[in-house]
Amino acid sequence: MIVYWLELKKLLTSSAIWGFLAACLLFNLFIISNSRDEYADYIGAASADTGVALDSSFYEKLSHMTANGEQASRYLEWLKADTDGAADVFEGYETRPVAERYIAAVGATGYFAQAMRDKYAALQNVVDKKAENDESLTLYFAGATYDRHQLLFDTLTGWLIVEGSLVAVLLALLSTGYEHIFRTGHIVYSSKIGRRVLRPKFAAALTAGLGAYTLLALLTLLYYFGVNEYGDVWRSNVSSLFNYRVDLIAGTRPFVTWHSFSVLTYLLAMLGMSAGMVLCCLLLAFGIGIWVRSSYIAFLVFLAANAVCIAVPVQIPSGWPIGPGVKYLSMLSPVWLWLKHSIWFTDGDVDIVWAHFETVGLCASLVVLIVFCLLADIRFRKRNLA
Amino acid sequence: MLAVNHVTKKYGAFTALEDIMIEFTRGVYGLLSPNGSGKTTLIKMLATLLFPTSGEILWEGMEIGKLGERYRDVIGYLPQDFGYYKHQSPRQFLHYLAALKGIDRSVASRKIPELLQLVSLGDVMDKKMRKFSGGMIQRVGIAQAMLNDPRILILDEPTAGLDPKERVRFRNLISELSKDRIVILSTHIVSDIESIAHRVIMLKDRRLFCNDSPANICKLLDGKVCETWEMDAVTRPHFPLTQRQEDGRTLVRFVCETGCPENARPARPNLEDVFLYVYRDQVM
Repeated sequence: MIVYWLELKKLLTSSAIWGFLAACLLFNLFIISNSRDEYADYIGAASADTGVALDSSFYEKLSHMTANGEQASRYLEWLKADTDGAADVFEGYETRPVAERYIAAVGATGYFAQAMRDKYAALQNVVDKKAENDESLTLYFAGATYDRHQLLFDTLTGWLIVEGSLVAVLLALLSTGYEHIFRTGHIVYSSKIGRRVLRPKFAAALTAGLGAYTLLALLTLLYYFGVNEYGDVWRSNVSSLFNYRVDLIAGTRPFVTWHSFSVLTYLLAMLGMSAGMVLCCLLLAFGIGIWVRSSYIAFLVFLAANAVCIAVPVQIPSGWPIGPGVKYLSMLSPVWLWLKHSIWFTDGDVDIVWAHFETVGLCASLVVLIVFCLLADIRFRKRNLA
Repeated sequence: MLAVNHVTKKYGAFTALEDIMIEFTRGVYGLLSPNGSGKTTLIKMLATLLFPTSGEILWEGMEIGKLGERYRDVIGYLPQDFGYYKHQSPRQFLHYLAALKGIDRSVASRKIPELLQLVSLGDVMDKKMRKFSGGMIQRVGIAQAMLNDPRILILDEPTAGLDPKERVRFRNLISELSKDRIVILSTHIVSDIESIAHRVIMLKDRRLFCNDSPANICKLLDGKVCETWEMDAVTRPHFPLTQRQEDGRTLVRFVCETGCPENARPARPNLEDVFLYVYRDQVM
């Protein structure tokens, strides 16, 4: 245990890591500061009085609301206009055409075409249930929903994953490369603990990596929720009629999640999933760091591995028999999961044939990367340390 | 007992060591040979950093790879290229290494200052090592090797960077420590081991050349080492060893296989003579 604490101390005393974290935080604060939306803030504040369920009570409370000042009056009028005649978008919504458009767009056949149809058949059941529960009749941010949803769950979450992953990668490579940097490998690996020191090193990198992500996310979100008014919107469903997805193939369509998520639970799920992504990057970097002694080269290998993961499904000829399989499996890799983070917990898009792709992808990636790290560890134990 | 049994080490097509057989019991073993002769390779195998291509290394009859941490627990190792954390003090650094060696924190807290005093670093034990001289760093290295009171102390070029006074202190320290443990000291500096080694091990052409006491090794050149003031007059085939200036004249020491010529006097061979003669064909 003492070795774990000492390894952790080695990582946490790195000024470069703290400098990078500070730079990331400043960048996030810059994004938030430049994305203010007063109308959304007004809705957030109003939701505390009206509630978020678009029922008779909501409309009654809204009708009794008064506005102080010209701008507030304008926002109140907008809100009334946005919510006037709100209808359940899931009522009569058909998912099958989406499946057929995707299949036609990529020319999918056989198993993959069937898997796509099966996925949207399963989604139809979810949509029907959402229609039954009037899930879309929820305020969210009314007319300002799309931008604010994108800011939090696309832009900010995306950057937090990148920043958290980069910090975790740097920590993992610092941990594995520390003895190489200071030329202390010979005394460390010939000590009693020997090459098993990789275990406390990994535990320390894991703690520091996830800790750094948590700290970054916490400070960023504290600022975000400090300057953006959410009021009672936390309880709104993310599959609100005001929320939607823009898809080049299937067109603009409702934001359908497999489960019923409020803004709060969706945020928690996204943060949990993001932490999983950070963990994947940490595992990949740690494994590479064991194989490649120089931390700088290991970082380049890490970037190259991700670049290959991005390039493979794009470059592989669709005519190849294994082409579609490789492409759809690649979508489960951490880097593709990151690229598709804005549609986590939804049906995905044209590249996704399996339901719950983010959960399946994360679990599969974790298994593969844990095996990769174990193999690296086994090889390291047998390696000549010249 | 530590035994090296028919150990060969190859790096691809290159053979670094071939069929080495050595047994180590208590005392100082001087591993003496020129740079690049395989000393460090042998040392690293003893420190479990390298694995023999063939053969085995046994500690008390068990293969050291199988013993794992039970073997590493009894060794203390000072590598040739001793690295350290510049931003830490010797005390902090030794505490870290003590943890790696499985030494209880309270025992380490007591032992570390004692060891640092022993290597004359008591007054700088809490100073960052960034500004330490090469000699001071080497003394930190010696202290860390002694941290677990090892039964096998492996020192690879330990006197590099030490000044003459420190070398003498170091030799005395090693001599003292060797009473109840195996000390394997690798060097290419003869004076490091001449007076303290119980046995001297020499490697030549990747193989074990000799493993004997310094006195027996010197017998290799018995009756063949000569000294003369008039080197130009020596006509017999010979191999020059060393020169010494005295009263403006040069005293030349040389080896003559056929005995000393008339204008030279016999001299008692020392380890340096043997070293220079044995490795006369090698670049040092």
